[in-house]
Amino acid sequence: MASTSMELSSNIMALPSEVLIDIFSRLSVKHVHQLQTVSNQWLRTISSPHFRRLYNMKSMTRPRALVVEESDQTYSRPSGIGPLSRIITISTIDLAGDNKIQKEFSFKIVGREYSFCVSSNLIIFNHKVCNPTTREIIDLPNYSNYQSVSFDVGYIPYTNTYKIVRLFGTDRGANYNCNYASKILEFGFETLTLTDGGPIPSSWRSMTHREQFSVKVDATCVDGVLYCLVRKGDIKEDRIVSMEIENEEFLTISCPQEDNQKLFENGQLTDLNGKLCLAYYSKELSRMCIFLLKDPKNQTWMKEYDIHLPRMGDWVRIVGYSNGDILIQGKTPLLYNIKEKRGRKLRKSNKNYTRLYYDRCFTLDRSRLRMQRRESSPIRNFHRKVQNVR
Amino acid sequence: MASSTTGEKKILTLKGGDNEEFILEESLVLQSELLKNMVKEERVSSIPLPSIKSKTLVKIIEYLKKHAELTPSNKEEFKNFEKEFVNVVLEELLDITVAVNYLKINGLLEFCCQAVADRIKDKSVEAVRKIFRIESDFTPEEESEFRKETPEAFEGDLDDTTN
Repeated sequence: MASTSMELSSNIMALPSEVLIDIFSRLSVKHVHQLQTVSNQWLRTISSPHFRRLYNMKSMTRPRALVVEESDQTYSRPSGIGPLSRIITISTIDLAGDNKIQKEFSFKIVGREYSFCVSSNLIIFNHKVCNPTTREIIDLPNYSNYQSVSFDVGYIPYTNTYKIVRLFGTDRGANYNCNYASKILEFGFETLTLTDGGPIPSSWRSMTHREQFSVKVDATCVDGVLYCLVRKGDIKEDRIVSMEIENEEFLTISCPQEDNQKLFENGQLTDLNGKLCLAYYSKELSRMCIFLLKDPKNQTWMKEYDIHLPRMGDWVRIVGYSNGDILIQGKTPLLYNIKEKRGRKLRKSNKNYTRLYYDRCFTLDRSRLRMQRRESSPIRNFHRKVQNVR
Repeated sequence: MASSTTGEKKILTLKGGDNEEFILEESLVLQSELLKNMVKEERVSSIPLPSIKSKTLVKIIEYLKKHAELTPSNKEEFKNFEKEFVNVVLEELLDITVAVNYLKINGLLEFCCQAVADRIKDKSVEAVRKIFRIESDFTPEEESEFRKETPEAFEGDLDDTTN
């Protein structure tokens, strides 16, 4: 067989694995999952941690919007007896393409407990975590008795792990409510590390570090660091507590100062193209003022944009950056083009959360994973499971 | 092939798999990291590339020439050329991709990978197997398990042989 090499070369099996990986990394995560069943070689390539990390790194440059809609609460039975329930609907918007909203799936939450958090690709509610990419919904281990303030999620790309950070108030008094307190209180943290393929650890890791403030205003994760905007009584005393996701080191960052007090009403944090962004929105002025942390070490802020946002309603949030646009959530989600200084509105919807979303090869628990079903999957009911947990 | 005013320009010979020779200006092959190193370090004037078919080499040289002529004003034209460049039968595209990867022509490799990805995009598992002539090496049990788990992966696009 003198000409073997030439005959082989016209076969996809002859592609070096790096080239095959490059080709796969250009496909949607759903399709790539399906292609694992083409052959053993493809299965090995696609399920290798190397490929999964590379895929996830690449997808950082092509965010989509994740829209999580929450229905009003209704009684499970028409008689009005039984626990309240609500339906969560997950959709995505292709920001690079036609901006069409595509419904992915929905599920039902039954019960009184009302923790709900959409953060960095994961959704956390009622002692559960949902990975919208794989549609997995898995129980979280029990956490400490202290009252939860919030759950935030950080992602570390090069190890392909998530870390859930739970913030709690350390007072266990009877009339204590840390969410609405105006005086300065003590807060603690505990974490849960989620590795690709699972399993989910059986307990949370509590941390000795404590912080004193009165309200946690907002939080976001940028480049492996979780930032929490906290208020210590007066607005002027806002500051940011940062935590390195991997080594769990804490640091305090002061906020930029400006004269116009009206602009400091609504502070919010987000990841804007890899930089920490602190934005202030004033409904009265229809303005959003955007600061970027240019140098985390020296804590230098730059006022980067001052955006005019008329008729956006009360609740306006900066979501993130995608292809020259800033995604802003208001009554209607808006893509604001930085160069043209112009916004274009996306589809309007009720009571929803919009976040940037990245296609990631990540499964919460491989042993339970059934590859993703098509959209027509019926609404899944977690009634029984939720009751079992309690 | 050589222009009449290349008196001072260095000339290089590439030898394809079937011993066909291609004479071109050295500056052109510098887009290939592999050939660039060979030329710089060893001062060779003839490079044998036995693993690359002549037909493939012709295509790649065509690209190198077009790419060398790329200016801001003919960007559109170049884009059209690129589109046409990968508009070939699948076997040829894979040949080019393998060769470009070997020669380390980074920009073109990106483009080829995207072109191959575009042919896989939205295709069912069966269609991908058919297009790329891959035989399933799973056991019948595994195969039926997959079909049960993700029936949609095996549906549709079965007759797609446009590649």
